[in-house]
Amino acid sequence: MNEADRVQELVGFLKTVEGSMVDSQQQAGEKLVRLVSGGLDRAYRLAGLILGNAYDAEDVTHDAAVRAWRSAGSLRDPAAFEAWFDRIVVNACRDRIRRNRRVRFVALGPDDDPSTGDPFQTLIDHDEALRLIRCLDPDERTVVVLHYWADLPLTEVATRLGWPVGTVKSRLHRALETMRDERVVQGSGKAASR
Amino acid sequence: MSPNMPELESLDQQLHDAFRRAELPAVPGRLRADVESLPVPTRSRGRRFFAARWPRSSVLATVVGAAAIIAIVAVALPLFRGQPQPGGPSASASRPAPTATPSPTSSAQSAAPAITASIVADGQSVSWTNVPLSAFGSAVVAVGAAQVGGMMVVAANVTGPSYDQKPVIIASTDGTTWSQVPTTGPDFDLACLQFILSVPGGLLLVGQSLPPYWNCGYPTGDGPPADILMWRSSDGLTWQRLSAAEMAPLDRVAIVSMAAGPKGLVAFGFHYPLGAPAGANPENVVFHSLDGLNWASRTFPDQNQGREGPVVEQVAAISSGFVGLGTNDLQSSGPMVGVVWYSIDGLAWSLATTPTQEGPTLYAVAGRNAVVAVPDAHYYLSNALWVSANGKTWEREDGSPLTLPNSWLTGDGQQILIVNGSSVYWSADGRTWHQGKSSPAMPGDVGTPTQAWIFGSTVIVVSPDYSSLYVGRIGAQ
Repeated sequence: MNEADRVQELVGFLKTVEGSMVDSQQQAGEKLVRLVSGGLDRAYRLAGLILGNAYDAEDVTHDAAVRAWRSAGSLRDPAAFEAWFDRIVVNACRDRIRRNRRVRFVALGPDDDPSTGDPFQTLIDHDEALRLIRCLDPDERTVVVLHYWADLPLTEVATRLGWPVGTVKSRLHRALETMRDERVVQGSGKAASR
Repeated sequence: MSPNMPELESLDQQLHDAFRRAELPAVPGRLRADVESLPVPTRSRGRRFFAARWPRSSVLATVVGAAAIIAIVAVALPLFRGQPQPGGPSASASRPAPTATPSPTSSAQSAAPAITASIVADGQSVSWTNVPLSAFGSAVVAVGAAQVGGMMVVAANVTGPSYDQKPVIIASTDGTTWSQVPTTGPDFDLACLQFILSVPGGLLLVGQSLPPYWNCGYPTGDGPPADILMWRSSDGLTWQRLSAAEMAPLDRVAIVSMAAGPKGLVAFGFHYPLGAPAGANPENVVFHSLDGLNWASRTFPDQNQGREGPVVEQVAAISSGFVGLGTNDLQSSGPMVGVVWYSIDGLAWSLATTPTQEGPTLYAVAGRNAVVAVPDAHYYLSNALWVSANGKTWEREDGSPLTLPNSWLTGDGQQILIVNGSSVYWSADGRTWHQGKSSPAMPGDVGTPTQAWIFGSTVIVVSPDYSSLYVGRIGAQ
């Protein structure tokens, strides 16, 4: 084998190696797209419950999917996808809240009809327990949704938010206080109206 | 009262039930189509090397060239995927700039110009070994670590489906070999651990009692708090639970954060006065102790114009006392702002002067000449950091090597350590950071960044899922 043949053989070998790396990268990318696609419903529901309306939830879900796409390399372990994507969704929600300043949900008057339109608003407004989360600030609401809807233990909520567990506990604690107070107010209103 | 909201049913249970029965919409089809039409996130960067850099003059050049290509591809591919590289570019080189826009909302907050961190490549390196906690039982999650004498002790809870699991305590003198400390006695029945701290003469373990059939991973803040439990140990190997009488000062208290340092121990939490009407808000309260046995307390804070509301969510010990971090959410409207309090005795607290920052202030750790705190910038990636020499006046630092959510942060009162991918960074003053290698590169998205401790030449950090430890050996560069 002359030198030119050897060079050619080595070039072929390296192209094969490089091709397999690119294939593997391609497969990883395709897997991420599949994971994101499979997690869209959860992301949309999580965002809808945190933000309280479908319009923002839709935007945030799209934004989170794009962020996931851009930061695909930060997902080391596909088994951790749910936590990783939850975190992106939660942070996208917080960004949205910061921009919108729609941080508190206003109680509807008797003439307002929440049944028309937004599925998240309708759901929240028609359930006496869920209605209480309207009075929470965004961080408290996020903790409540992750803990009670996503059924995550507080350590997992802490991981999703990047907060110490103590912070999560105090936020949940205050959220429950606020909701209890709100329930008392709602109960008094009902009693007075009887 | 509707059937789904009986008066005596706990709010906790109501929320569980309400979310369970909620029929939530699926993602709209147009959104799904948009997302699924995104291109696969991969690009070929290596091919250009074949075209432009392939040497053809000799076999030697061929071999050298081939080795170079393999090296370049091996480095470029993971970098392209966003993974940190041992010996590769530092985190600071690829870190996005912080984008939070602060707005002044508190008289104690300032818009002082930021300082800029300097990073020099002469720091100590750390080599890591993974210690799975599964070796000590299933569903074991680490809570904290402390050291007594030469013994490192890690406390953990068991969060599995069984409700009669006892906490797990493991100990090691070298960080390599870990042994399980007996927790089989009745003293650890229905116990959920929260903190492990160094105290004079040994260690203090703090937890709370669990109602029967409650899982340790799901404590809630609804209703009166569970009883606080404490255990003492002089060696980390045998533990003695404190009696109910010794725990009396902490009756009807839920602890949120604790820290121990040269000025003793501080605990922040809520106190539910006996006889208070149902649903009444508890008091914010702070406790201080020099020995972990005798506690003094005060409602908190009495310095903030007498108003209610602020909560210290994290407390850290510094050489001159303590700093407390949290959110001042006294305002009825507008954003919450991150604030810091400081104290020299653990009981009298004052508001510190800080940069402006929306959202809570999350963590603080101390070095020899400074304490650094991490404000929650509400962004997915952030390198926001505050630095103070005394806990009273804080400055924002730009260009710090901290990168949330991919960094662990810890300090032992002498050095502050940031662990970030393929690098570790050391600083005594929070301004000059000495960069060393992290070998192998550590995972990103670390979960709770303060789950990290330095014990002499050993560093322990808790994995993002809490189920294993990374034990690092500090060595020269």
